[in-house]
Amino acid sequence: MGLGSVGGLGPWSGRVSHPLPAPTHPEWPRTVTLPLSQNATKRLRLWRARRALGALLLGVAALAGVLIGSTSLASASSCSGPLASGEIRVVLVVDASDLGGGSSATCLVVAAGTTGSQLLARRGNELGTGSPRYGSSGLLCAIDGLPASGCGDRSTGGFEYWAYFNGSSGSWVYGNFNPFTRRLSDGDIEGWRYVRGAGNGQDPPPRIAPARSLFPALAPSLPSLPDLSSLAPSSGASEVPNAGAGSVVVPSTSPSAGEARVDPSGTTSVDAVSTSTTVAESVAVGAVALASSSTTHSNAGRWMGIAAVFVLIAVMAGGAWVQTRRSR
Amino acid sequence: MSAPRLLHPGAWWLWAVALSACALRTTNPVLLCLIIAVAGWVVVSRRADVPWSRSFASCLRLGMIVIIVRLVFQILFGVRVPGTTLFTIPEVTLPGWAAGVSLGGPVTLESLMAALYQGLRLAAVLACFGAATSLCSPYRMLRALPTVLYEAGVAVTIAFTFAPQAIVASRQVREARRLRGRSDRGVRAWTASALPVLEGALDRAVALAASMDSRGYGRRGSSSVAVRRRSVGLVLLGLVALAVGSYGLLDPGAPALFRVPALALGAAALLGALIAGGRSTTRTRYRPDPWDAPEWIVSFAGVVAFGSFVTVGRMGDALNPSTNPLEVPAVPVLAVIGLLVATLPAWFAPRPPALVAPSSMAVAA
Repeated sequence: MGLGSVGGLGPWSGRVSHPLPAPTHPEWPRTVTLPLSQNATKRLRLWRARRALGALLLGVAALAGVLIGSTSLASASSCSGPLASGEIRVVLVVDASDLGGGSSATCLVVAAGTTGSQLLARRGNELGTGSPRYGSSGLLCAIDGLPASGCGDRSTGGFEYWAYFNGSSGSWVYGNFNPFTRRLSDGDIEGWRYVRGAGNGQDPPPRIAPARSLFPALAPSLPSLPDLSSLAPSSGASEVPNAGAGSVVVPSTSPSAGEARVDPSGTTSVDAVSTSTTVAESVAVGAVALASSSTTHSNAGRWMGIAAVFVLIAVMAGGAWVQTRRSR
Repeated sequence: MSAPRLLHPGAWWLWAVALSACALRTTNPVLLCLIIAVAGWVVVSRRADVPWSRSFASCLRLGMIVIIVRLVFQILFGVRVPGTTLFTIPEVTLPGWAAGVSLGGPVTLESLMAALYQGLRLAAVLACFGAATSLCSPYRMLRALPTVLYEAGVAVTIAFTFAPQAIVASRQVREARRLRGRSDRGVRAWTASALPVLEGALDRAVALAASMDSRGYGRRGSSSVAVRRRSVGLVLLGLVALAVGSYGLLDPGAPALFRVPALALGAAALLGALIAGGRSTTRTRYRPDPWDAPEWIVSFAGVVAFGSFVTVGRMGDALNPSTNPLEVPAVPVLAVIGLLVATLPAWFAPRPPALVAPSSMAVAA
C-alpha cells in the first residue's frame, strides 16, 4: 500500500442503489390539507420544536456514551510456548530509527485471521507503548507515539510516512496492501519503517532483515510464563508497566546480545549497525514516556467545555426559534 | 441602530466565506455545531422577508442528507479502521490487484465518528452558503461589481441564483400539486416535481440573464478590440489566480505558493484589467449600495473568526481531534470567542426594510 493504508472505495466504483426508501403507498390518498386553526398551528410548532430538541439531546447523549466507553482487551500466550489451535506466530518489525526511536522485532502469538492493523495494536498493547495513531482517513500516522504530530506529511523531496512491508518471502517487499484487510497467516513477518521517500516501492525497507531466526525456537517444555494479559494495562496506557516483572529476553541476532531493546535517549540509534535487533517477547519497556500515554485526566475539563458550548448553541437555537415565531 | 436598509451583499458574502473557511479548517464537531448555530442565529436575526430567505433551512436539510450519505458510504466501503467494533457486515474478499480496497467488514466506532466529523464539516459549509444566499439578494451583488467583471459576474450570479430559485420553484410546484389535490410529500411527489423544479429554476436564471442584458449589463461602449482583448485576458488570468489562491487559503495542506502569491497575482491582474477596461467606459449607478460602518463590522467579524481559527490551528491539534484512538474533542476557547465575534452581525447589521410585514415597521419606527 502506497502510503501505509489508504484504502476504501469511492462512491463511483461500485454499483450502489440510491439510499432513498422505497415508496410505501402506490397511490397516496388524495387529500387536501385544510388550513389549521391558529391554536392548532401553534401547538404543532411547539410539538415540532420539542421533537427537534429531543432528537438533539438524544444525539448528544449518544455521542457522550460512545465516547466514554471504549476499552479493548487482548488475550496473549507465549511466542515460544506451544500454540493453541487457531493461533499463529507472527513477527512484527518496527523501524523508527529515522525518528530516533530505534528498531525492534517483536514476536507475537495472535488468533488466525488477525489483520495487519490489529497486529500493530496488539504489539503496542503488549509493549505498553500505546495504540498506533491513525488519521481520520485511515492513514497510519504514528507507531509508539512517533512522530508525535503530523500524518504522512509532505516534506522536501517526498513524503514522511510509515511504509508497510512484508517479509514472509525472506526479503522485504513493499506492501501494496491494506493493513485493515490484510489477514495474516502463520510465520508471516510484517515490517513498518518510517521513511522519507517518494511513497512508492523504491522506498527503503526496515533495517532488520526478515530472517526465520527472528522467531524464537519453539520450546514446549518451557515453564509456564506469567500471563501477559494481567501485565498489560487494560484501559489505555495511563500506567507504566513494571519493568522487572515477568520480562523475558530471548536470544538476539544482533552484536549486542541479550540487550533489551529501546534506547530512551533516542539519539544513538540512527546508524543501522548500532540498531539492536532483539527478539523481544513481552519485554516491558520501563520508563519510556510516550506522548500518547496520558489522555484520561483532562477529559472532565473537556466535557465541561463541550457542555458550555452546547448550552450556547441551545440558547442560540431557542432564540432563533422565538424570533421566527414572533415574525410570523 | 441605523435605519432599516439592506446591507452591502459583499459584506455578507465575505462574512459567510470566512465562516465556511473556518469550517473547512476543522473537524471538531463542537466547533462545527457552533458554526451552524452562529450562521442560523444571524440569518434568523437579519433576513429579509423575501423568497430566497428560506434557503437556509433547505441547506440545513441538505446537510443532514450529506451526513447520512457519508455514514452509509463509510459503513459499506470505508477503510476498516481498527477500534471498537459496533457490528460486522458481510465482507467481500477482493482479488490481489484490489488489495487496497475494502468492501464490507467490521464497522468500528472510530470510523463512524471520523465519517460523522467529515459529514458535519460539509454540512457546516453548506449552512454558511445557505446563510449567504438567504441574507442578501443575489442581484445586488452584481450591481456592486466594476465594469470589466460583468461577464464573470453575470455567470457567477446565475450560478448563485440557481439554488435559491430552485427553492422558490419547488415551493410553487408543491403548492400547485396541493391545489390539484395531490400529495406533496413522499418519493412519488418528489420525483414528479423534480423536473418542473429544475426547469423552472433554469428558466428563471435565463430570464434574469436576459433582463440584465436588456438593461445594459456587460455593455462595453466604444472601446477598441485590442483594449477589450487585453482586459478580458487579464480578467481571466486574475480570476484563475484568485480561485487557486482561495483554494490554497481554504485547504491548509496546499503548497505555500498557492496562497498569498496566487492571491496577489490575481489581485494585480484584476487591478490591471480595471485600469485598462474601466478607462474607456463611464457608468453611473442609481442609488449605489454604501459601504459604511455596519459593512465594516460584518466583514470584520468574519475575518476575526477566521483569524482565530488560523491561530488555534497553529497552536495545536485542537481543530482536528483524533478519532483513532477516539478522544473527547477539546474545545479551544480562542476559536469559540472568534465564533462569538462572528455573531456580531446579528446586532450591528441594519435591519432589512420590511416589505409587507406590519409588526417590524412598528419596531423600526
